[in-house]
Amino acid sequence: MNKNPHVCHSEPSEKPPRTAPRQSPARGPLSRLLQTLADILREIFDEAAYTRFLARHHRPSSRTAYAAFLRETEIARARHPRCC
Amino acid sequence: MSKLSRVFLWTFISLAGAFALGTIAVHRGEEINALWLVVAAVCCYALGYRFYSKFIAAKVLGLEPLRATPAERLDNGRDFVPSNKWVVFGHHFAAIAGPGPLVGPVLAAQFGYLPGTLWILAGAIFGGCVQDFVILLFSVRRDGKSLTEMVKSEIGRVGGFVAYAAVIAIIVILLGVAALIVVNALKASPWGTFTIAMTIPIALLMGLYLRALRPGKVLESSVLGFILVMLAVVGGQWVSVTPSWARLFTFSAPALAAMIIVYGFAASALPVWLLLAPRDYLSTFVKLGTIAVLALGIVALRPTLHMPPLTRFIDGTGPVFAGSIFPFAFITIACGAISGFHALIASGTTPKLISREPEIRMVGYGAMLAESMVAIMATIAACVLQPGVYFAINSPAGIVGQLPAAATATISAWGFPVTAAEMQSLAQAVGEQTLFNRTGGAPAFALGMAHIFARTLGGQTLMALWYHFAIMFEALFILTVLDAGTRVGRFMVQDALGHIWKPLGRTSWYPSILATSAVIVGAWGYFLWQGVKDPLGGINSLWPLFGISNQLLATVALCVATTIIIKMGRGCYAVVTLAPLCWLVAATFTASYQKVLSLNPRIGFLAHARQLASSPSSGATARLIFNDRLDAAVTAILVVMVASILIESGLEWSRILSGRKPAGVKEAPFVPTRLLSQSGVSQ
Repeated sequence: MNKNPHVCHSEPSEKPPRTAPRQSPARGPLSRLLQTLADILREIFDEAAYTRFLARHHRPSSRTAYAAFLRETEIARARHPRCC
Repeated sequence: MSKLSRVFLWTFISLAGAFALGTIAVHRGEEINALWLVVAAVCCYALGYRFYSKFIAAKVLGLEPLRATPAERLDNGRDFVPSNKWVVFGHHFAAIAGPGPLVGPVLAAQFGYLPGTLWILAGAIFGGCVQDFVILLFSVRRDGKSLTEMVKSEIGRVGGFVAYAAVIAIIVILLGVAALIVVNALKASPWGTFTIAMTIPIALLMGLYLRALRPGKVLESSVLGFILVMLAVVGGQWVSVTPSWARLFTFSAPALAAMIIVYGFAASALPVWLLLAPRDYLSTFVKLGTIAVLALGIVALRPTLHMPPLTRFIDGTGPVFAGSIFPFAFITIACGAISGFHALIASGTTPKLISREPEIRMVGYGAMLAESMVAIMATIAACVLQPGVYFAINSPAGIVGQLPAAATATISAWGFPVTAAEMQSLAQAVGEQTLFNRTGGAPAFALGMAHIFARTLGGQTLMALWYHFAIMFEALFILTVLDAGTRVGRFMVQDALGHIWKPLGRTSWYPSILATSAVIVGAWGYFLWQGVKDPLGGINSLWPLFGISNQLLATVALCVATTIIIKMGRGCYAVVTLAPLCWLVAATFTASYQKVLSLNPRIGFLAHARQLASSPSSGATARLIFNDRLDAAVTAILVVMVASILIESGLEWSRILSGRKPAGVKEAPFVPTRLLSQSGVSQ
């Protein structure tokens, strides 16, 4: 059962993309490694979160979209502790 | 790989690890190469991960590949997002790795390289990694619940309240100590102060760039910010040699402390996007890059360790901090071996990103191993310095004397020869006026790092740049911890006050923001002020206080973990969390007892207060006595709080194991995963 009241109950087709590395059987190991590194950096630096935000709200990237994204994530980000 | 090849490989790793560990443990007399520490660490980590974590995953926790995680079930693309395991690993590592694994091992190097190294390896493999792993799994099984929520639901309401109060207290002490490290690194250093001061406008610029010019291009703005920071490091040299500019950026410790307190208040009250977020991005960028470069540098350059394996200070008379190896080495090195703070992160963002349970092993156990490796690198950085230089930097003036001649005479008399001329030329080489009495660990680490890199990249001519790059790198992420920690503390205080009067709990109501920011900044600011006014340098009293509070939080986390393992009906395996719990209780409670009640004035807060009271009094004496009594009271309160959680946990274990209470876990119900078709089932 879904216990989180803030969860978006969207249809599977509307779900934001999963942050798995884009895999292609034709790629070499080095290319896959670089892709994974890029994905890690995109997640750490919130670029992936912004992409998901745009996909979820069906809007293109813009100043207003980014401002809305920052507003949405402000509380969550401010509550993240950073370890000593 | 065939079974025989695997057996051969793991036998080889075991033998290599045993040989390297044996070498660093029994080697006496001649100096040894740092690569021995690296080989010992890598082999131990590989064995710990391959065998111990696999045992815990299979037998103790019973990871379920078919169970849907909250990231999958509650996927909202915002907080709950099923993510690739490497992405979560990187995210988790970036959150747990802070200044702690760099500073603690540097301070503990006063005992020699051996005690710290052994504790980092054993503490991480049997304690820290286990804690992070089990807390992450238990949070995942409870829809991402926080540590304090788990204490409340699994142990009891009193425990939950105590854990909440303990977390706030620990955050306050941590921030005070972190700020003190920055102050000690930057006092009378126009180069360092200029560089760090420049990071504030650079972060603001990045915030505006992201918001107005290139929305969402964080990596791009971080690269831009990094280039500007590097220019600031180079520009700092010009500032330091231009008298009119150098005067502008030369500050005493109290002046720097006042500035950092004002900065902390501003950072807590300003919008997140303007300062906190861009500084966080910049700091993470520099942190990941520098750690990678340092690791490569150590492996490629294979520096020699000049510090002996054990020093005379194992008897507890050390100048960096007083106290013998047991218990003080075990509270001085927290991050890198076991850190309670990690439990807050393992029950924060990370559980909401895990796609499948088997991945928790790599993220929880594996990321902590990576942090432990950072601590080994910090040990190496401290121990490549000549011991005399190390002690000249890290010893407070109150112990070795104010004047260079007096300090070098004292340190040389300990058996670690160093001269005032040698220290002066070293200070000139790194662009500083002096390197004496720079307690806190950061300058020694920076000098060690500069020493390693100066052997090849740019030689001695770039030594000053490397030193100030390292100072910038440490100060940058300490200030990020300060920003983020102040805000987290503010939110926790607002949550608590919201129960008394609703408007105070509103995180967007400015009077509440200002009042709660002032409470948190005032609290850590007091500890900072106490540190800068302390004639013994502050680190001597405050770092143990921080270590004790951090390890007490780990005690709480391991109490919850043991309780849940027993409730899962796997009491026979509870030893995996019970053993580190017992060790931590022994070390932390002994350290607390000694810090409060030891008759040695260099160790016991109350004995020091009595010594001050019996000496000629002044205004400063009265304040120092009050501070000693305050530190003693804070330590005692923390211990009593954690002891109450221990007792409550023990009673709960007894009720369950004796059958007086049915064992039952409060997990989210099992829902089969739908991600199997995408990723397959594998351990």
